[in-house]
Amino acid sequence: MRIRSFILRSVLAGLPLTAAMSGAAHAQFVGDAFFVDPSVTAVAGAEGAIQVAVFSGTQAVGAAHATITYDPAALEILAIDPVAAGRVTPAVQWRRDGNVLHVVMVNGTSLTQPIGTVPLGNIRFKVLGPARATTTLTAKATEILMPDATAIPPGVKSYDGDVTFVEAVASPTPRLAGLARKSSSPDLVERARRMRPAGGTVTLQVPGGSGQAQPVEVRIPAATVPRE
Amino acid sequence: MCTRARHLWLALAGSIVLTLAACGGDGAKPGGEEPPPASSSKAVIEVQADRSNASVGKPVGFSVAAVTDGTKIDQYRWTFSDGQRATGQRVSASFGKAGPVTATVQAISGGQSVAEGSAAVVVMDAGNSPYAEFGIPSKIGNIAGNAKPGLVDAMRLGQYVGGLNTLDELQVARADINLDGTVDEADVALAMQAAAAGQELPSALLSTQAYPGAVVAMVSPALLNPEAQVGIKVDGVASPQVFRMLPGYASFLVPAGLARNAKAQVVVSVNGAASETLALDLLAPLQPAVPAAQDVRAFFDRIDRLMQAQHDAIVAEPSGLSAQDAEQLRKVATAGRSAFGNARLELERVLAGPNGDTLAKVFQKALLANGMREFQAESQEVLGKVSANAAAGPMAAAVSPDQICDFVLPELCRLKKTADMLGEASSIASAACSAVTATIFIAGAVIPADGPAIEIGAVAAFVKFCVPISATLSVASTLGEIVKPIDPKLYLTVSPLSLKPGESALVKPEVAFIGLQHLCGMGASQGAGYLVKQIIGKRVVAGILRSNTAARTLADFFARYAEDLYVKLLDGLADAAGNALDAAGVMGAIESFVTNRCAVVPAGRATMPANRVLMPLSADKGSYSFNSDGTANYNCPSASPTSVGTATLEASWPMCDGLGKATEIVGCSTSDVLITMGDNGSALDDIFEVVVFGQTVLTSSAPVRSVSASVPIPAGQAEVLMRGLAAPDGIGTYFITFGGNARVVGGDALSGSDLTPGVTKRFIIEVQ
Repeated sequence: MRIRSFILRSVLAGLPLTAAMSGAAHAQFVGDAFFVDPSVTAVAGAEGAIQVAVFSGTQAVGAAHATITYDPAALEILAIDPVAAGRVTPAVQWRRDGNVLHVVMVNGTSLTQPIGTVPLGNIRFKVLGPARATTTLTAKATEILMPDATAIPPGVKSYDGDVTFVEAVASPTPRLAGLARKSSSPDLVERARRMRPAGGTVTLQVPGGSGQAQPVEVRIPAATVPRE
Repeated sequence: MCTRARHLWLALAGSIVLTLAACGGDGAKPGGEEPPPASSSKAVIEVQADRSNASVGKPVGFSVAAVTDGTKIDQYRWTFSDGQRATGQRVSASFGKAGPVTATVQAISGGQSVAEGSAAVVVMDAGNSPYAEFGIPSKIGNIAGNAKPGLVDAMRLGQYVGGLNTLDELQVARADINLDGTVDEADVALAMQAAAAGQELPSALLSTQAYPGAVVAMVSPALLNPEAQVGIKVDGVASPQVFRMLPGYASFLVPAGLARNAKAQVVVSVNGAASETLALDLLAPLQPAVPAAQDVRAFFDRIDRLMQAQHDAIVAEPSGLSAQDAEQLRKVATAGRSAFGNARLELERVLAGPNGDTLAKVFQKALLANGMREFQAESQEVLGKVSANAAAGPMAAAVSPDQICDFVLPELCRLKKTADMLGEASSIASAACSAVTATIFIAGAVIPADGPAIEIGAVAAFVKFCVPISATLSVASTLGEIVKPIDPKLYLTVSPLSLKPGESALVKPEVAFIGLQHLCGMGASQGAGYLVKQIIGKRVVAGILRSNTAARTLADFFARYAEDLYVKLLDGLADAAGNALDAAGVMGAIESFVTNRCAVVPAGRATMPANRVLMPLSADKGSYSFNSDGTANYNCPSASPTSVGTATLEASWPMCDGLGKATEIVGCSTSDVLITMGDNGSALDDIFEVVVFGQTVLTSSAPVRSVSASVPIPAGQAEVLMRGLAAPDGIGTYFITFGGNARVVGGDALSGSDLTPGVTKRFIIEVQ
């Protein structure tokens, strides 16, 4: 397989140049839809958001369609807003079909951008469930097209995201990534495994007794024997 | 004298019922023709089709019932608009071709016709458009030509609207999903909705806001089957009139009397089963503020002013045309105005006739429901701009950047705006006419069931006024309609974007006339006659869809005009205006008009004068120097402790739909930073990406040992993020280096084995 390296003529303009070089024979992750921050919190009764994206590798994305499965009893979907990918802000349309959201992104502004992690949209919701509960969303890419209509095969795996509902506090305690405790609890590992590829790390929001959530860093077990 | 008309016209769900009553000689035939001579016997007949829509080749039942003063009806003779004939009180017919058809029946007594009536049905073919010759294609939304529309269609449409690609004639026709004559962001949104639903067509109302009494068009795959019986309820109240003329599309009258509801539910039923629910923002009905007749007259006065503006635009811009061609165009414009004047005289007769006051009130209410107030406000603004543009003077033959600003855009926008407004006026008038007829014949459409009675004679006169008015407006604004799909957009290109202090970049403001290439190509390849027929035909068909004038009007219209729409409309104009119009000559003149405009207006991007369209820069952001070819040079400030990292360059100029803007950000003290990264572990199995300013600048589709990108980054400190995307063995072995004028001043380690999916490394670099 040939790998392209991208030389951006300008970060400001977002016009990549490509140069071919050799690489490994198998691709991972390209074509997958996933949540950018897979575990978030939202105040019960209030609005929250979670961002969904696809990974296209070195290929620019012209359009993409993904489905998001969610629990309508826990979240009321308010809108899915466009998200800028550098200087490109693709158009987004969405449709609800029972407990499935269909998100369609079309990029009518560039034939060369965006590449890599390509945001599809920011899902805005209202929390319907009670504090201390967690609801799961599942993202799956259905179709991804390069600007010349060549298909990027959608990943076979779906990825979860979740929203933990918390109680409102007068002055929220700032959460720092460095403060996340680590855990290898089987249920948390299983939860993380559905969010990122094997070998990854996820900071999960875990409900606490105070009605707030605590960040917990979880390593997902490797799929292969560690070799570096 | 007849009793209340609504007693004569029956509302039968799902069927079209049209009756012509031999009522003391006061019967009316929609379309303005006189009723047939009736005997002295009195008879009233009711004609109905058992369905309003039918498939090609499928039988439709028709029946007639008569109420007489004792006269015996010997026979009912049926004549169908496709030439078929039948006799009997109940007959059945099938039709081999898609399009509107009319069944006319005569009640015969003693060898004489004592009453005549008709019903109309729209015959549809799900696989073929009944109006292909008018630019309404089959498979709307299917741009790529695949078996079924999908994501690729939405993408190609988005790229077309974004100026990234071109579409051929059929693709453009199919791209106009909302049938408004323009391919724009609204069509992209509809195509995306269809892709999201995995359907051939989106499910959407073509207006998301409406007053009670308004006509609303919709598109839905549930409407693709011509045989489907469609019912529509708004907040639980059945629409008194649902009209279908194209597979996949319908229009309906929003019932009167509904309360304001921002989340009103439109429930579409197909064959009695709820098929889908769409949201409609139901507006509170507008209350008449001025006397009805005065308000109605003011509406038509405003249309008259727009037609005057269009006439002036055509007459005042003969540049490049022969005197003969210019005269032909002037005649069309003049005839259009005259014909419109005649229609207004008809209106005055209606208002002065029996029930004129009541009709004025009903018509006023229907006009308000269909957007008259909004039209008046918008047209006021348009007329102001038209005057301002007209002051710019005639367009020159050769086009310089200044002339683009001074002549091409104003002329284009002037014609486009007046065409838009005249089109809107035509839709409002037609929709109001439709609403009034529905009101009169179907209780509760605009006025309540216990409202004033209206005599059939007044109704007949009203219909006589209504039918030609929209056709008149359509043909009279043809020239403006030709430019309507052209959408100018402003662009700004700057090269290079990455500069050092004191360096300069070439700045080129440009305008692209999206849609022009398609139009000129179509005119060149097919000729003006084809072009005009397509444009007028599409407008008429789409206008009827949006104005819900019911199958009978449609059938009447096509029976009279369809064979050669333009020539017949032109003849109508000529007759109405007492003007001699030679169709061939007018076609030639229009061809010259289009050819000239296509020769003058650049099909690609045209340079705009930088010295006029670029917004001034503050002194600390650099400066412009202007070149004679319309471009400019942007000069970064010289190096100093206060020199800027970036400057935002902005171009701004009035486009047809408001102030156009385009911006570009230039780096003024950037350096190319060579970023290299990769997987340097023993196993090549990790994937990463590097993000600068929120944008991925470097990644790979599979694990790589090393990959590089030269990234211009402004002087000073910058944050660079490196994310792990794949590390199947749980060890993400990475390295990253920064070359050029950058040095790392903080952040995470430049190499390690913990950059696994979900982990982000942060580096602070300082660029000289």
